[in-house]
Amino acid sequence: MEALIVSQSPHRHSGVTTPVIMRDVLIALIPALIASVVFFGPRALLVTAVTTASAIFFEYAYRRLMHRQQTVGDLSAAVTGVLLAFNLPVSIPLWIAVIGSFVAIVVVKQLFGGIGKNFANPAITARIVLMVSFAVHMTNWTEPFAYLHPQAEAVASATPLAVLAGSEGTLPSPLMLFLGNCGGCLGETSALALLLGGAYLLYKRVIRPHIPLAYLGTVALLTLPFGVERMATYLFSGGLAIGAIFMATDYTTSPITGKGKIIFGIGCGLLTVLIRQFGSYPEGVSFSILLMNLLVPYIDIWTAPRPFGLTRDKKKKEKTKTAVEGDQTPIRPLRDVLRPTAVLCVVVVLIAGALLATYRVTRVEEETGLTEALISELTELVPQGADWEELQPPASPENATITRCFGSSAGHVYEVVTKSYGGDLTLLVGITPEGVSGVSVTETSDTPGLGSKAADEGFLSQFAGRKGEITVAKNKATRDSDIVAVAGATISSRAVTTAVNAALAADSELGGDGE
Amino acid sequence: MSLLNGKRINGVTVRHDKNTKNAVTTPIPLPQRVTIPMQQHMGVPCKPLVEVGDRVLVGQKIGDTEHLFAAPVHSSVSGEVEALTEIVLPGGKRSQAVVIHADGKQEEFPHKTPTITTAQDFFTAVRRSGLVGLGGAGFPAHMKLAYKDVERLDTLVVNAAECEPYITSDYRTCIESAEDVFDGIEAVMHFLGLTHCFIGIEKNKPEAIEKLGKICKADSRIRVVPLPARYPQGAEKVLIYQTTGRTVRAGSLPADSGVMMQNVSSIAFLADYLRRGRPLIERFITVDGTAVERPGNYSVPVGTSIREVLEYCGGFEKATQILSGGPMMGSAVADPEMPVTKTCNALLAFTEPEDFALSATDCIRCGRCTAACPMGLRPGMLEDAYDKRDTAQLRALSVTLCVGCGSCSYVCPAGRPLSQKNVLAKDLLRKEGN
Amino acid sequence: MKNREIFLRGLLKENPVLVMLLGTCPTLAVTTMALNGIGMGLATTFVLLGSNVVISLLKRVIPKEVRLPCYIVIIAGFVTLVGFLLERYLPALNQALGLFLSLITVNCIILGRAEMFASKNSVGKSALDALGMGFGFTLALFCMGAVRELIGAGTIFGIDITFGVLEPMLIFILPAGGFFVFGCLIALVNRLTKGRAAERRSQADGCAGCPAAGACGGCEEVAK
Repeated sequence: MEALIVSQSPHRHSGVTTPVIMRDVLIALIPALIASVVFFGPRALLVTAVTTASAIFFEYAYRRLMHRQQTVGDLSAAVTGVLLAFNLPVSIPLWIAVIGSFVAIVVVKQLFGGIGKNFANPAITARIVLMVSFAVHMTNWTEPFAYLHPQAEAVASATPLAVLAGSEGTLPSPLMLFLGNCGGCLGETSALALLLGGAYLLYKRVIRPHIPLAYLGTVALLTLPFGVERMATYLFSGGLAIGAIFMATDYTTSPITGKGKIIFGIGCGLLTVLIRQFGSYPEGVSFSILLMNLLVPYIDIWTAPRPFGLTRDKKKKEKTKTAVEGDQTPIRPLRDVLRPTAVLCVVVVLIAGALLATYRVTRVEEETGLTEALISELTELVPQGADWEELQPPASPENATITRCFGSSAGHVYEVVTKSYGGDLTLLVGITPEGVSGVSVTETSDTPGLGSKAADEGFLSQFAGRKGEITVAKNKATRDSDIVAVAGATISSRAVTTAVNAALAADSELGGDGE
Repeated sequence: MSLLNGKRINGVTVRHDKNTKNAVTTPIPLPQRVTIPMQQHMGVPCKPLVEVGDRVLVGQKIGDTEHLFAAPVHSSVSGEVEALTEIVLPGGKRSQAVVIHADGKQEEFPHKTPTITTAQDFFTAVRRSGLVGLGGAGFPAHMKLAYKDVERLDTLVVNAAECEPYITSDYRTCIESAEDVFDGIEAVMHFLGLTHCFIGIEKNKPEAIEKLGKICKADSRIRVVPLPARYPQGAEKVLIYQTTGRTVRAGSLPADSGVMMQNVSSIAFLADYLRRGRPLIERFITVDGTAVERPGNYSVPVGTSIREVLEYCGGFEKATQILSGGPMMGSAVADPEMPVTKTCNALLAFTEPEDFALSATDCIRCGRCTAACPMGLRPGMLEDAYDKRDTAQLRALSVTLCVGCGSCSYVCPAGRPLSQKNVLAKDLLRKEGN
Repeated sequence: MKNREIFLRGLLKENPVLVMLLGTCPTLAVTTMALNGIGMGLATTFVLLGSNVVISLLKRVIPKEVRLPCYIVIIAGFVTLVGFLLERYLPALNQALGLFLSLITVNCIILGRAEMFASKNSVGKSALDALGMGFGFTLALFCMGAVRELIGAGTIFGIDITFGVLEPMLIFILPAGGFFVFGCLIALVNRLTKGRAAERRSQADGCAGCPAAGACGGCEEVAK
């Protein structure tokens, strides 16, 4: 007989290997893939194919170049590719999708050591990078089924979340949201398809229910006080379903124990609601997951399982000895850190108080006259203006506040504050008898690269010479009174227009003859 | 961690493969010669008491030592001592051995039923029987019974869990020798002054549960506790917790918590010994596996070569992997000429190992190992610590609590040798002085 | 050490930013445009040169106990000088650098070189060291700024080179992208110096360039 195989126990394996797990995840993503093709057309499939293929390619190439064990066989790169595609809108240029794959696979995953060693979810981080870098492309949503009418003019639609945040548009019913019949990224619209996939993953024991339940449960609980319909809308909008089921549950970047998973899920839910409600981005899922990812090593320490039969004291001693994975520095118990922190806080408060007092005492009252800088700004807006003086601001209309008013020989300048996407927008509007002579934005809290573009010369120059009420058109001016909004920044454009209209109205009240 | 009495423990669910549960224990034909090792137990090895050419009888003592921490060795056949040699046992240990050529007559050594009046007599008798833990551990039974603080002991836990796949020999004991189990329990409880007894048994053995329940009704102090069939239900600390609710502290013995644990076959043997005085010379083992043509439960004289047993059961030629014990904790046999010893409870022969094609890939931090560990350890971190030879970290992570059940390796999707590294880690700590 | 080497090591092997990891704050803040990077680098070089020379001239005069306050005063003096000059002749740059101009005063590189080199070497050598370190700093800032401006805004020195076809990746102008580019540059330098830079770093440590080094006493003989 042949020689016997000798190895150490155990001599049996469960049969569940990494490729098996990844394959199950891919299978679970199929319903969402089908949904994305149904709602957004065959291009959805193309985008997914491109991200997946490039993800696999980048992983293969990187491991090859760095002379490391080849890992494409474990299918995790494919999973990342598909998940990334599901975070992109269908109209995304393919080269941007490829950049996304590069960021996810090479920067977030491979540079840190490959599978099991990334500090944050690769697909989520890539989505955030793309969102910050190519804001316009990443927010170019299309209506579902628009691909069936290619001749019709492409109308950008607002996502449900954008509408919730105040954008113009109708909110689809919770049922529509659940099925996925709404604008958004490829895989994130259909909560139904994602839940099907989630059920499969639970059945196959690929994921445990802790994180999705804690995440969705927290969001549900926090939005329940606003009514069941509102809660349902919240739950089924945006990337929450895909985030809670597929992204937050990524093994490497989520806690190991059940307790830890629950804490993680609750944290994600809390942050998502906070960002959606109070943040300047309509979608909070990506950022919440990323932020919680960073806390995972600590959550793991706090929720470490207790070895069987270890007494309380021993556990405390071990808590101080046990180090963060891979790091030799021990974590000190809370007590040791409290006292120095408290002392530091007191010192800071005392010094800050002393500084504040000193400032109060030594501050010199500013002259109430107009400064050089201000006058030059005003003159830029009303070129012929001279003898500038500040006047009493006229009454403001409802949706804008005229905070200051300056008069000169050639016209007036009004400082208007109005509500825009990310907060207040402050503008200076110069008006002469010929109409608007200049607009400049002095303060904006809108998204850089998007809403902030409403402060650009190119957009603002449209207002020059306007006299009557101005209206906003999204893509093309159809009426005489139209100006064209900044692509992807309709709300900000509207805000500016509202402000200018308010200034025009106020000016006509004053008589408008430059007095 | 684990929840009390019948609830889930960590650990893993394995395929039971109890194919031989209805196979009645039958004897194999007498081998021509037996090789009886001097060390078939944990502790000090015995020294041979016979010489080449001596005639020995069945049950005659052929090896012993003055040390208490040892179990004497007896001949399983009658015949002539052929040689004194040294062999390598499954598991890698080297041991002296006595080779006896069987004459086929099986003449029995005159056994004496032990007379026992005190607890001390009991210990002496048990030692004389050569009994070692028949669950596979090989701990000399009398050492457990000789716990220094006998007053502290109050509970007997009988381990009938048999959580390893394939193995059904304990189950057959429950079915075929239920009265012996009862008598054995009575004896132990009597001589040690115990007040309770729990029989821990997995739910996948309903007939045994029923039979034991019926027989033990006679004594209300005995309770049969059916437990979920989950591996490693039979691990000592796990079973004690599941049946009595007591947690054996890290670094302590079960006896420190007042518990005495014995394997059910050990108990049954004890009853038989107290009745007949016949020492431990044969084992009832399960023979199974994909290579075996006639799987079943067989009574095998100690010292029979593994090859002979497998040849009798058919399929020896096809085997590429032979295990002594179960697939989770058993040892791989390198040389089939090695003998069946007192600690062997199963022989498994496979045409192809069950986990053949697995090679280790990167850890994906899935946490399955941590969820599986019945001792609440974190095998993923233990592996990291061992790879760095960081003994301080290993100690901080309590690697010494590892019972070697193998659940972590079983469940790891990356195929990482977690359980194996824990063994090395414990060794490393031992070398460093623990 | 030969004069040539004193000058050259500041450029790559002991580049203050990419090897010694000093002065990373202005590096990350100011390099959103290549021009700003160069401007800051040259301003810092000027200050570095001035302070190194003056401190070297005064090295026997300044008592050891008060050397740190003295160095700071001298450095602050030069920074203020540079501030005045920029305000008058290059107001756009002054605007772009903003707060970070004044922060040159506490740039670890300057104080570090003062402590590690100028206070112990001749004026000529100190000047060479200043120039080397300063140019190395400028070079690093230029590389950072160029990459970030190119990829993040599609321009170089303000000239648009996207030809309306390519699109810039905004994140490179933002802090996250800055850190990323920084990391890549450090990796590149490590590669170019075949890892020897990292070795020297663990010996020559940012520690030694730190103002507290003398007081802490841990890195006395590190200066090489």
